[in-house]
Amino acid sequence: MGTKRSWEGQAVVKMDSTESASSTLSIFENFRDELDEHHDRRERIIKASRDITALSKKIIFALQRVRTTNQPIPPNITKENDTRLEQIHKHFASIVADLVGIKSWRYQRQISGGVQEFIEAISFDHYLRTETLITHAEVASRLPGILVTEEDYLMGIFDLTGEMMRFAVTALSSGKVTPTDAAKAGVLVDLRVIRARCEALSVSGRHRAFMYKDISKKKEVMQNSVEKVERAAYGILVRGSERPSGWTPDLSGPVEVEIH
Amino acid sequence: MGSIVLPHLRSAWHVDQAILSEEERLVVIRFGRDHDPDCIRQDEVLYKIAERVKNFAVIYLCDIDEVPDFNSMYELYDTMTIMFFYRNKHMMCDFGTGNNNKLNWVLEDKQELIDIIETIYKGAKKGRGLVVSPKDTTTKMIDQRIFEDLQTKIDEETTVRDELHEIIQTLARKGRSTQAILSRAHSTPADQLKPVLDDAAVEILAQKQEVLRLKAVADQHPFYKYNALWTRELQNLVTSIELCAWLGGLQEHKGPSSGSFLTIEEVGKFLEVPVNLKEQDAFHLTIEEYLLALISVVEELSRLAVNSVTLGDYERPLQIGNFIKDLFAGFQLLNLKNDILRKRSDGIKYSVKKVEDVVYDLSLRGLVPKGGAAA
Repeated sequence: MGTKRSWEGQAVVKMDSTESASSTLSIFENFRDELDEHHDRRERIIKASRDITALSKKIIFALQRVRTTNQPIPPNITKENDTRLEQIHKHFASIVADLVGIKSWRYQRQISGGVQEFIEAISFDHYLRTETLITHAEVASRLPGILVTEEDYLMGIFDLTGEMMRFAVTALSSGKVTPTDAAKAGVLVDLRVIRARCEALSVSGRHRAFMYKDISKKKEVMQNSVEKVERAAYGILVRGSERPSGWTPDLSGPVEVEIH
Repeated sequence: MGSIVLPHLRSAWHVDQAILSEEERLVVIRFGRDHDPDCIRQDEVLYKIAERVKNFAVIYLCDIDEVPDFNSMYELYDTMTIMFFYRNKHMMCDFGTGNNNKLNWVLEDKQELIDIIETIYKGAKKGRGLVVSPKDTTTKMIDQRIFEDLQTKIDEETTVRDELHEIIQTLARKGRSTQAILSRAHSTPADQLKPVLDDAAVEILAQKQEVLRLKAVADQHPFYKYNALWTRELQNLVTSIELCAWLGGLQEHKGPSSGSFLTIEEVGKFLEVPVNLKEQDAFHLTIEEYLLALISVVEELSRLAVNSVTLGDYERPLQIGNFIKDLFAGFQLLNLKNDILRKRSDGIKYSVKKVEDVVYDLSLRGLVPKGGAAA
């Protein structure tokens, strides 16, 4: 292109550039193949991550129908979730090869969303069954071949507090748990413990742009979640006595509406 | 019993001395009145554990009537208060009570008290001012180690980032002086360019040393975990190398086969770092970094095309034009997705146009030297 502008220079330009141009092109052809491979892999991982996120969300929805803690999950919900877990593991298995060795960190940001949501789901399940917090090692053992960073783990735990909040508010408004009991043991107490521990974590601000960048936002959401449960307990304690006997809160609507 | 055996601090001076002089251990002071029932109970427990914690903590008693100096400063309004100090620093502890400054209730469980003192001591040794009490285990919900491990991992990562950051800062500083020298090319005629390029080569070689230092540290960690930290500076360095080489510097490092620019392999060889590693997890120059550096070279050369004309050099714009058109053709081969590489490479066509305009202006006025582009 552009070579016809000067008839003087034209012939020279052609002679000069054909050789170097072809070598340049072959270099770039090589780059193209490498980049194509990278983009394809990246897209595969993003797609799997999205599917895993969606399935994990469904697991969490199903778990929100559970009403008790420290007991086995009801079989109908387990059955539902088992199929979803199986699908999730298939998705993970499909990209394990794309995430080996050096690639594990290269595509960490692409898979991170799915991993975090998955942690949220299994930690909630774990909490409902055992009333304990799942450990990083336990999470990692459920994801063989996948890098589970401490950051993903922590962010998953932050998200877990949101689910615990929803669970606690439902339990409180169903009247099964009295507010005074809630303050002594159970979800509210556990939420406070997690909150205290998370608040005690200190992450240096120097590297805010690179490590744990979501931490302050997530922390705020978590603090709000704890407060929502505290307010719900307060509200039911204070206003509950005004309710006619035999009255139960309307659970058909979204529970959060009550406490805002 | 406890208040008789445990050492008393009889004045404010004694309190200060106790806190100041202890270098190794945690200083635990019980403030209160010796005859108060709460204090009697607590002193008993303190006395019983004193021997068991003596390796990392020393326990004193202080009567707040005898030594009232600290009452308002430390808000000693409870019947019994225990406070912790380490190397003249007040240690706070989150007991889950809301008051992190002190322990102000009687704690009769010996093991629990020992655990608290030990936890605070460990935290203090690590330089923390606030420690979370193990006592807060009102539920068994959390395995204590979970958050300790997390904190350890966070601290480790911070240390690594600090170390890398320091090297990269040096690299960046040297990079700026390289760029400052190379920008003299815009105001230096081609035949007087040699000293500029020699100066630039010296700086580039100094930067290379920093890259090797960076490599030594980075090689101990997953490459892509920290790559974002230095990618910019490495790109700038590659840009400087390519520019310097294009202008005629660094000749001894150019391969015989290469045309006007260094291939990624040649850059890697020059810097003594691997390039485009796909399996091995080690420090290297990535394809993306190399390509982004080439784009910067194109931008810089399009500016040079204009400035060459001002310097009376009508030949160089033609060379630049040929070179960047060559690269442009290469970039057009790539299937770019919506990422930084695409955004940056979109700019190449404007650079090409800029240079073409210069060449057009020159040829229109018959200023293009005969057989000029052959040089």
